[in-house]
Amino acid sequence: MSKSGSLKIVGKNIAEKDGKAKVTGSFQYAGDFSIPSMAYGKILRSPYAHARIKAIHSESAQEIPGVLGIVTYRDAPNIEWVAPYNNYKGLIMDERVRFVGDEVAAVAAVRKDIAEKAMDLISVEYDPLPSVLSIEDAILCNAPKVRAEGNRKEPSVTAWGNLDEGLNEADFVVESKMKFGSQQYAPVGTNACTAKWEGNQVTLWTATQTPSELKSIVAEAFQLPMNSVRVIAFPCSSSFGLWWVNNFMLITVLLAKKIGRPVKIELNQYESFAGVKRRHLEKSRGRIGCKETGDIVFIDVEHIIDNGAYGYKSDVGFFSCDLWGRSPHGRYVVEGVSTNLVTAGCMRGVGDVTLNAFVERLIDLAAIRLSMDPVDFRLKNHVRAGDILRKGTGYWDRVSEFRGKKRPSVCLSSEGLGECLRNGAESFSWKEKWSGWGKPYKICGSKYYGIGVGTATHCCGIALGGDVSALVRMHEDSSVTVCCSMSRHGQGSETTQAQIAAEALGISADDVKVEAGDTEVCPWSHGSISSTAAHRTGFATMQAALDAKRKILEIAGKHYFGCRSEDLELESGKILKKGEPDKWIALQELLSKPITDTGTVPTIIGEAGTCMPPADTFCRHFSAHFAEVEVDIETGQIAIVDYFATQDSGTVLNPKILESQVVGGAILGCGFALTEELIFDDKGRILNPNFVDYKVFRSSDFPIRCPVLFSKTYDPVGPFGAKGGGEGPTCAAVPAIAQAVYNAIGVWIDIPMKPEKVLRELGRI
Amino acid sequence: MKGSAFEYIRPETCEEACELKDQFSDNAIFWAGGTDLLPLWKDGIISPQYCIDISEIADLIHIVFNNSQFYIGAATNLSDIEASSILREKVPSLGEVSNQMATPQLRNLATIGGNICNASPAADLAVALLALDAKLKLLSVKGERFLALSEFFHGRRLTAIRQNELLAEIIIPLTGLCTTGFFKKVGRTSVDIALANVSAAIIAEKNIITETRISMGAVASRPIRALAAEKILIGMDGTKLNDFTLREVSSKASDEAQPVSDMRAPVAYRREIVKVIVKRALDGALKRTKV
Amino acid sequence: MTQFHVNGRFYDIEVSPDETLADVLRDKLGFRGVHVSCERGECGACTILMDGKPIPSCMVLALKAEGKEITTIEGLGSPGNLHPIQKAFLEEHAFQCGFCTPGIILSAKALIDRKEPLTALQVSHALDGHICRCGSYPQIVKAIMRAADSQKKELRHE
Repeated sequence: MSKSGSLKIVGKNIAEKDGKAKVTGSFQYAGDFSIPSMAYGKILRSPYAHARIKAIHSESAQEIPGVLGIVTYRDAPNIEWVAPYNNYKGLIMDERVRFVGDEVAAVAAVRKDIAEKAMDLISVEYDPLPSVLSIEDAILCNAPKVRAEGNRKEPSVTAWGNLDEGLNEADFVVESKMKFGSQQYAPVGTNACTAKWEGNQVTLWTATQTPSELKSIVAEAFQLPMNSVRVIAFPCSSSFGLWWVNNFMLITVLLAKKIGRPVKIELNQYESFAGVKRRHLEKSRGRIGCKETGDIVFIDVEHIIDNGAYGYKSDVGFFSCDLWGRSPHGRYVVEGVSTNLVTAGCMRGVGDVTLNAFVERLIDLAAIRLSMDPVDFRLKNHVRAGDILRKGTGYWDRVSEFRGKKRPSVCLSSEGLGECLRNGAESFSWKEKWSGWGKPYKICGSKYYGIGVGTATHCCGIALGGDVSALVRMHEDSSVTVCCSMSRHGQGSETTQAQIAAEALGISADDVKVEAGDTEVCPWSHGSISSTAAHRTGFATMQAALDAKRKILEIAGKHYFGCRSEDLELESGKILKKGEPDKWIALQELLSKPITDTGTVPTIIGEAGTCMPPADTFCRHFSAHFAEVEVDIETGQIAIVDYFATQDSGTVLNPKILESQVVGGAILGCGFALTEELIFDDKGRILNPNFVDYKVFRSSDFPIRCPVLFSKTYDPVGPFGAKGGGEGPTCAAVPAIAQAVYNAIGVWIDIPMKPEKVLRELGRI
Repeated sequence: MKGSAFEYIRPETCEEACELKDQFSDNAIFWAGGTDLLPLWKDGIISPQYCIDISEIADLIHIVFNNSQFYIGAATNLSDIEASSILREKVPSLGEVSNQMATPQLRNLATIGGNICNASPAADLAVALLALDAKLKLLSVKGERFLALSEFFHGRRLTAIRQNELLAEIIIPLTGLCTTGFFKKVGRTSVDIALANVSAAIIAEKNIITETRISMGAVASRPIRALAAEKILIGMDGTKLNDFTLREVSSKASDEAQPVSDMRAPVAYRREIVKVIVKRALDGALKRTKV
Repeated sequence: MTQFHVNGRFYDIEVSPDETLADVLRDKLGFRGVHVSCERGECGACTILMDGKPIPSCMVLALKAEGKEITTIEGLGSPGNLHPIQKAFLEEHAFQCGFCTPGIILSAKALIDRKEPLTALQVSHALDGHICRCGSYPQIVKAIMRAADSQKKELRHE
């Protein structure tokens, strides 16, 4: 495909298709949905972190007029279901509860208030069990078991070279450790699931980033053929990985089946904060070995994550090993442990928000040891296009084991990080402000000012996680529907996929609609997770659009022009003979007139014949962020004074849309770095499941301007050169802020960098 | 989440309101902005049978100055206090405090009386008013009484309000404290309950400090004055104060605080920052003192 | 029966004392542009204008709103006839998931209607009652400044 210069639609600031609906309040979310004879469901939750259910007494509840039915673990299928990337592995309900808030029963009633009243009348006899509420407790040999498999999952290892050799080769080694708070998605806007059975078929309406995955899981859990499950996905409000396949959706299906009527369960803010999922609690320790020249010889990291009650990951999903994959040796070991805290799973930038922040710390410590500017150190060592991908290698091993194919070399398709670092540093006036490590560049009274840079990479979809696919359907009037199962959660995919299809078909983006949520029409796709949409789904959309174009030109050649399809072109809604521009027909004409083959109008459905990008070129998007902070050394408060984001997402499909993603991602990362943390008490309860005490950034907590600079990178694989971009920004923000704080006050602060920690490290308390 | 059902009544006068409260007594609550009460009700912590909405009673909504005292109706919104030009001119700390409370939308609902009656240890306006020697006017069917704000707070959510009494008005005497009052607050983000808040005010005659007020919030079970610290500056020349003296005062104030640890901040942090913001509030008050 | 005055029209409906204004606007009057999330007045998503002032409708008892002029996002403009602030939000792409958007646009209207000179910093502070979890704050500030500017120009032409 053509490079950026000749693109007509891709790369332009096409207005977001849902924009008008959003600004006028007519955009619908899952909570807005209802259907006739719908009942209302409420979930009863465990007050204990770990307990066995001895008995559930629901007689009084059942007697309330208007109550239609109650489900407990006795009604749940005895099938363990597994969410994408092991974000949940467990039964829908069973006779054990494993975190405060775990689902115990669900009630359906004709009105919400009746369901709430009934819930209060269900009495449960619990037999409390000892619980584990921390990583440290979970790994003790006699720790109570959260899961039947045990609390510790086999660690995942990404390694290359030989660490012992690396230790010999290195001129110096620095060690460190870090721990991180557990971030909460803290959505504004909750979720609801409505389920309706018709005979042995069920339809669900809910907000999900993974409609196809939800369909598969419901089919498996309820032992239904896939053609009997339909998911109609609503857009999510601020999801970032929260709303994929969630247990409350399966409970809704169960409850609807029990009462023989449609049921809607709507979660409130407390349930969304405390009853579904959160980012893992994580700890890292490790070391980096370097030459005096500044070349990294090895990075050795041990990282541990708590999966909470039902998460079951060991590979936390990180790619920073690729960022520094030029080093001849490396070893990253990630272990997942189970605890009796609310389930933990993937949140935007999973793995790289934390593990990458630790690797950046090691990088910074090495640069400090060398008295080397952190930008220069990164420029020296970062991965280049064509380099082998360490994570990609690991993934490919798993593919070949699955498919029995010989592993080709896996290397990076494109890289613009160098350009990001150089241009970003210049725009940020880095050299002018850089005063050396741990030295503020300005002091005003008690306010110390420091600058920092952070880099990160993340995937652009993971081939292994499941395929993506798309269909492009041409209507008789030449308007188009792109069907690709994905999410609408503010990342603009309904617009950018339309741009890709329009560019490939040579039509206006106004004529393209994206159907992303109905599994009845969308082919199976992994969904909008792991920054998949732009690169991988976009690739499938492009392939499907090109297939539609091929089919159109074949029919045109056979029935209208009497020539080969290769002699024809499709441009601006016209089919033209190459070299003879006077010979053309309108696309609409071809689509609306019967052809002699079938006797009817042509059915043009483009399919993505090659869904996955060729497996020997894996893709990464890159972020480099620059931050300036002001630290008040008397109060410990940290303010972000200036912020500059750079990004390599290949061809930028829609600059304004991607800019929002970058800035929004940065703000989320800054919140993680400075203010956000779930606080658990000694009984496993979350003390701050609300916006009063779970502190997210508000408008004036972040600079009013945040310029974003995109590198001029073209990815040879991505659709029109595009790559993903949604997660890198969150990951790069964390080390940028951490380094800026260090440079302001000369000490490192654990994350989140709360004011009391600052004063403690400064020895003031 | 919904609380228990109740009856809603909107009286038009203070007299009517007091009569209703007298009639229904502990089964009824006065409801102004409702910004503190509604969450308590939604969480089932309070379950009134009658909600007496006093937010529209004209006699409770005013900001009036009569050359010797300010009279602020208890149901006056924080946003009106923020916007008041007479307060900005003569008692600037009140508008400045209001601007830092809750959110702009909540300030259109929340009232000065609500902030006082809710008696949170961190109540921002209460802290500022304490440094201004504010008085309260309380009404009931038995009549009216006046009480110094300094005698109003007994503990967390505990006040000297008597059964069935209505807080009607806040009265601020016009003294040198009004123009010098300076408020500082520390929070975790731009919108937050104070981790510590302080208001300082000074009266000086011919440069000599004759009165000091240092009030502190979120560092005890109620807003308090640092009485021992206040005495240190009396008699000193306000133009000749050095940093050492101010730090001595702020350390003393910090010693008088009784902070606790909670999920918002540990005790050591609160004790340290109250010291810092006492000094900053004093700096601010001194700059405003026309010495 | 309680009468509500919403977006220039009157509605007579039965309301119970324990219903909030948000409940009534959304569930009884069908104004689904009023978005409810935290139910504690913290997130700002449910913000509407009451007598021109932005307030969180989840924090107001419905009966308190009797006699007041209520404006929801539906009263501002429609997809075919956008208010200048809505146009500015589209031009600056000042939203992502869109959940906080209606509340913010109404607060912006109240701010701009004051006809006072505005700086970006002031606008940023004025938005502190709205959580945009998607992080579109800088774009939102830009959109509001743009809308304020175009209103100033319109006033000059009048």
